[in-house]
Amino acid sequence: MLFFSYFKELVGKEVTVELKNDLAIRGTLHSVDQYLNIKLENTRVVEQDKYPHMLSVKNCFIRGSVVRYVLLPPDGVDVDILHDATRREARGG
Amino acid sequence: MLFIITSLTDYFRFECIITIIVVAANSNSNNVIKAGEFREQEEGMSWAGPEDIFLSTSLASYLDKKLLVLLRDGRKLIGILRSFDQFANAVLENALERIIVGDLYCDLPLGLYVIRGENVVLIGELDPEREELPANMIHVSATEIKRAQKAERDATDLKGSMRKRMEFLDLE
Repeated sequence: MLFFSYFKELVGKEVTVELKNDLAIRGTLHSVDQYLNIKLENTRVVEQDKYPHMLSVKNCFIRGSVVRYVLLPPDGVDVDILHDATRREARGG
Repeated sequence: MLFIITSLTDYFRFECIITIIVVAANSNSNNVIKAGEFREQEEGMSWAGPEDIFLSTSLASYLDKKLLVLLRDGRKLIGILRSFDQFANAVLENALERIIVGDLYCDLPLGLYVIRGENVVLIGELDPEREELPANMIHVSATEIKRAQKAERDATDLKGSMRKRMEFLDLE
């Protein structure tokens, strides 16, 4: 559940989600669940010209299983806290 | 899926439900669900309560809205969301498939669609205030779009076979 908790901390931040079909969407992280499904708000597609059907989509739900990357804001990671949390998780706590 | 079928009883005519259940029964006899998968379907009920639907990942806030559903094979379905569950199985009413080839597009009406969640890539809310497609796109008939689709497919096939023939040149 580490990454779930981690993504919950990022709610409200601007992220770019790249999907396995190469579609990349930038938007404000609205919510995330235990499958790492993601809801974005105020979305815009990075290569809008290639995906004209996405023009009027401003809020979207992305199924966790199709996500390739999530690009985070530079200040999105507190490495020390993540480090500690990872060790704790690895110990099974 | 069970939930969707039961919830359909609220919305649709009786004959319609019978057909869906028959489909579900057929697929059950054909595909043996592995034990692990089955457990996954049983657990993980993440029902958001009514008070937090707008804060959660639940699709409840999209109910009765016009949505664009992208599928894994690249198809684009548009319809009104009537039901869903935690796997993103979804029921679309007045569904249509939007086929886009270059600047041409066509909407093929499909009717009532139950989409299995694993095929869903993205579900987007279509903002009624905005244009769904850029102004330069041209609406064409179903036959024309089929022809354009075929031409595009042939072009990519040709490209692929050309590359194959040139492989001995070891181009990068």
